[in-house]
Amino acid sequence: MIFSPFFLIQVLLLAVILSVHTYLGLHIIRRGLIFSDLALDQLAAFGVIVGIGIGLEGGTTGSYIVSFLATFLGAVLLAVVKPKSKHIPREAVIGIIYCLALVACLMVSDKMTGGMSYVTQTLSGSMLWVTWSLVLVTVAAYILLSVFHYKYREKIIGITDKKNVEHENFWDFMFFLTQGIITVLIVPIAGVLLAYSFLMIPAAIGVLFTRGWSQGLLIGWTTGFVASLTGLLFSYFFRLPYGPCLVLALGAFFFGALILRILLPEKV
Amino acid sequence: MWEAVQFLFPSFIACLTILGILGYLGIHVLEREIIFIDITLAQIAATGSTLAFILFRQQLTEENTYIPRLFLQFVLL
Repeated sequence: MIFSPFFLIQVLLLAVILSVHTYLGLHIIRRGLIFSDLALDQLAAFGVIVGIGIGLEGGTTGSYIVSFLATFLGAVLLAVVKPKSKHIPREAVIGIIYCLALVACLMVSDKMTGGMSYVTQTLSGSMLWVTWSLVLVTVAAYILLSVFHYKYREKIIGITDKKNVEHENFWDFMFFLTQGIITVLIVPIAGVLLAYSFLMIPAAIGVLFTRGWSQGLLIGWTTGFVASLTGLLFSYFFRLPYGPCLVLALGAFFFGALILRILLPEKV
Repeated sequence: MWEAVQFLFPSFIACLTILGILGYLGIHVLEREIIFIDITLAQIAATGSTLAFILFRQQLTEENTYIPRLFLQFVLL
């Protein structure tokens, strides 16, 4: 059973998702915009719920387009709204966007039959029911985005490392746009909370132990993958919900890494 | 109309009270740049409420869910 195609789909999907998410997570953590992804995830979920409201089933092209439009709006807001007053951190704006997106989901779902179940579904996801075709689309899109990030890594890493980069606003927007595309792809599969955990927890573990980009990516991806496999097996053997098990396993690994960090000497 | 005002008045006063306290705490949160602390605490409190509901369903009143909620908040902090 462990080596069945069903498990293979999940393991492959976890490996692919973690590769790009860990890299983007490293950017997000180093920029200090920790909750920007949560806001974009919630906007993508809002798009999915609106799509269902107007008759577009989740996972269809139409649903992805509506979800993308909502996320695009969020990406523009994140890139443009930078309060000049030092008393209002950028994180406050991100928090407000997240809160409004969640409330918008609740408002829209209130007018739909069985609306709350859609909100729950977009929060906890349905990783268990992915098909090979969905996995292939996700893998193809993730490879394209990885190529883009590899090609323009100097620009985007330059902005994150606070170096002078030409057309900074454009590259900043491109970064949030790629994050938005990944968000649109992942939220219907993994849900808001798991998507956020995939992005933040492996990267946070990486940053705990190293300042380097490639070492951080390696540590984050490996730990994230082992944590996800643990969550997968835990869910299978104890018959617990899959998505929440993955989040809990990632969270447990993060706190384990924190303890290890305290016990170990300085960062490399 | 009058019934609606009577019905909504307590929640309006509750909103004003909450705004008064949280508005002040919000200034501290912004100054310290710990923006998401409240959403974390609120979610921990919700976990406490859920646990209280599971453990003490029979004896449950509004008040006695505060104890497990507060307990969980302190444990997790």
